[in-house]
This record gives sequence, C-alpha cells and structure tokens, in this order.
Amino acid sequence: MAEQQREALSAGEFIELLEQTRAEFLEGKSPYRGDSTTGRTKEEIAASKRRFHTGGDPNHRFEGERYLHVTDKAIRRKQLRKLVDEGGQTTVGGPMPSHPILARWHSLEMGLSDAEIDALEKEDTPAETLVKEGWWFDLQRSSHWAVALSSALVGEGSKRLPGAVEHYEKLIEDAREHYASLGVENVDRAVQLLIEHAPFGADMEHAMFGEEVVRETATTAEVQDEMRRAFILTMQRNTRDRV
Amino acid sequence: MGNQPPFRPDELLTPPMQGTAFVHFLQREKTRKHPAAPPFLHALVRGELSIEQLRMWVQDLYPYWNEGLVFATGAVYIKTNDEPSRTQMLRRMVDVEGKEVVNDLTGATTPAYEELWLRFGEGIGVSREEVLEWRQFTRTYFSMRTLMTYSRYWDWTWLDGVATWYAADLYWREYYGAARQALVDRYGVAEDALEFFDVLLGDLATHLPWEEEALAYWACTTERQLTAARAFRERLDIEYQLLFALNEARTAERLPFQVPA
Repeated sequence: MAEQQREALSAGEFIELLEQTRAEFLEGKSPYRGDSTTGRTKEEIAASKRRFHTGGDPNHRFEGERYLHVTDKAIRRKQLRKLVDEGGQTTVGGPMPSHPILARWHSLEMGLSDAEIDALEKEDTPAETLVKEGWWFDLQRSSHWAVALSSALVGEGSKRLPGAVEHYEKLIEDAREHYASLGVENVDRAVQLLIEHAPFGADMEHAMFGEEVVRETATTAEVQDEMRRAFILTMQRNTRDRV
Repeated sequence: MGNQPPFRPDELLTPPMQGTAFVHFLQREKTRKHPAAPPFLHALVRGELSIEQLRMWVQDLYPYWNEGLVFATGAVYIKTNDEPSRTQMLRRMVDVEGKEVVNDLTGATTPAYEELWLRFGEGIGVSREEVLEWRQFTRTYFSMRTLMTYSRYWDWTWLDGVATWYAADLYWREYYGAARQALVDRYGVAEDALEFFDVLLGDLATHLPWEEEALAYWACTTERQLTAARAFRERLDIEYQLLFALNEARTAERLPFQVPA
C-alpha cells in the first residue's frame, strides 16, 4: 500500500514549530546573538578578535552561495541587496563599509594593527572553525536555495522576535559605556558593526527576509523537513560547547 | 585549469612579466587569438543582416544576459577573498542585476541587462513572449553553460575570473560599440531602443581600470600569469562561440540544433 502523503503545515504553523524548536534547544537561554566576541578587558577582547580574524572572513562565501542558486529573480535580487549591505554599501556609493571592514574597525580600536590582521587572515583557519564553516558553506552550496536562505532564521531571524530591539539597544549602549571605560579612542567606530548587526533599518529587513522566504517556499512536508533539519544543525553549529 | 597537464617546474622557471607588461600582453593575446570580429557581428556591422536575423540574435542571447552572466559573475565573486577586488565585483553584480536594486542608496533606476535586452528586442519588433519562448541554439547553450561552470568551479581561479571579465569587457567595448553604431546607421534602430548598449558600454568603462590594476598586481608569478592568460583566451573563445550558431543560422540551409523543450 502506498505510503500516505504527509501534508505540509501551514506557513504560520511551520514557523511556530521552528520557534518552538528554538526555545526547546536553548533551554531558556536568550535567542539573541551577542557581539560574537568575549572578554571584559581590552586585552581579552583583542585576543578574541585575533581568533575571529584568523583564517579570514567567510561572509561573502556563504551569503554569495545563498545568492547564486536562487531561481526566483525577485528573491535573488533581495539577496543581492543584502550582499551590498554586508559586502559594503560604499561599493555602490552608499555610506557604510563592508562588515569585514567594520570588524576591522572594532579590532583596530582594541589595539590590533592592519598588518597584524592581514597576517592573521592568511593563517590556517582553526580546526573547529574549519569544519563548522565547511559544513555551513556546504549547506548553502548543496541545499535547495530556499533551504539555504531559511537557515538565516537562526541568527538574523532571531532579531525579529519580541524583545530583540530592546536587547540590541541595551547591548550597544552597554558596549559604548564599557569601551569608553576601557579608554577606547573611537567608540563610534568600535560599535559600528554591532549597530549594523542590530535589528534596526537594514538588518531588520534581513531579519524578516528569512521568514518571508519560508512563508513563500515551505509548501511541502519535504521542504519543511529539510528546513527544520538545517535550522537545528545551524543552532548546533552556533553553540560553543556541545558540537 | 581545463584538461591541460600541470606546468612542469622548468616551465615555471621563466620570470613573470612585470604587471603592466602582462596587461599589455593580454591585450595582444586578444588580437592574436581573434584578429577579427565574430562573423555574425562582422555581418551586423556591415549592415548585412536581415531584421529577422537581428531579432534571432536577441532571442538567442537572452538566456546569456538573463542567466549565464548573472551566475558567472556571482560565482567569481564567491571565490574572491581580496576585499578591494571583491567590492568592485559586487558593483558589477549590481550592474548586471540592475542598479535599481540599490535605488534606496543611490536613487538609480537602471534595470537589469536582461530587461534592457528585452527592451532592445521590442525596439526591433520582437516581443517579450517571442524571446521567452525561443529555444536557444544548442551551441549557444553549451557556450553559456561552459562560462557558468568554469566560473563556478576549479577550472578558473578568482584571478582567472578577473582575466575573463577583462577579456569580455575588451571584447564588448570593441564590438558592441560598433554594433550600436551600425544599428543606428544601417538598420535605422531608434536611439531609445539602444539603452542596453549605452549601459553596458558605460559600465565596462568603469570596470576596465580596476581589472587592469588587479591583474597587474596579483598576477605576479609565472603560474598565475599562465593560467590567467589561458582563462582570458578561453573567455574570448566562449564569446565567439556564443555567436557561432547564429551565423550558421543565417548562412546554412537548415537551422542548427536547438535545446529541446
């Protein structure tokens, strides 16, 4: 007897399932991203930034992979618009440099030099990062484009959740105060990447983009299964202790 | 690399050319490899094409502007880890997809190359439906897919990719400029139907300088120069192959093979 075909959840139900999955996975911890560096002293933050720069920046690789295979022209061009925000609005005459440049601004304020960052970017990628990023590139490269784009729901997508704006406003305000207390020379430059990652303006659009794609494309049980699997693996990848 | 065996150590002993000399070498390679325009464009420039043949050109090349170039450009971008080059590539992706994508940042309203190509088609009497329904000549399709896969995978490095863009820009500057003039002078095409050519020629003029700069700086070893020069020639071959079947269609009794529906 032929297996009965499963019905897909409605878009709303499926997004609710993903958020329920997130809540269970996080076991009560905050769903929002921090500033992706650790440390309280300037030296500790600088050490964290050295680890961050080692092996180079992956942004264009995974965002570009997401762009490349999209067959829906309107969605593909939205992803290109996102590439411009992250790859540098200055590219087309806009105001904001690329995220790798903003990450560098932060590091320079923490005492690193351009020459040191250049050298770090050419070093071997740390082994754990190598396999986490390797899987991440593979996900973007090998999955259906809708599944690849839906994986943004984990990080950027978390910023559309209730309380995200307040969380990031406080994160930025705290960072400003903290950096000033550390004697950081140009606090504005040091927090600019944090601002760009916060759900105001362009990044709020990025935060909503993943959900829009899911609503439009997750129309079969099979696609929903693939998206949920990618969602869980992405959360596992983002943890620091259990993978 | 394509199918070629690797260069042996003794073949790599020759010192690399100085950067500017390498760029000039590429320019000479273009003339050496292809001293004349592709026969189809040559005929176009001489006013020898019928209006039906011009329309077929629009139909057969649409997938190239709509899909092939978009994919190939993004594919090289992904593998470029040099930030200054990459930002220029991103600008080129915006050119191809339409500057209107960044309207909120710049106020630009220029649409994608594929849309401008469709408008050119309408200007010479071929409807969008006729373009979209056309089954591309197989040789054109093979050429486009070769560009896409070589840009995507290991066949071309990122720097080889820059060399291929340089080849295409030199080619377009020379032959699409002449084609635009001929469309006005010999075929009476209205100026407002030719925005595609103006945009393409305007854009490439902004890309040639950074491409030359990148090639002069990064193609600093003998092996990099050898592979970049090969990719440069391969891209020219692809551009010529893209028009091969169109020329067959106008000179042979039967139409060349077309991609099955």
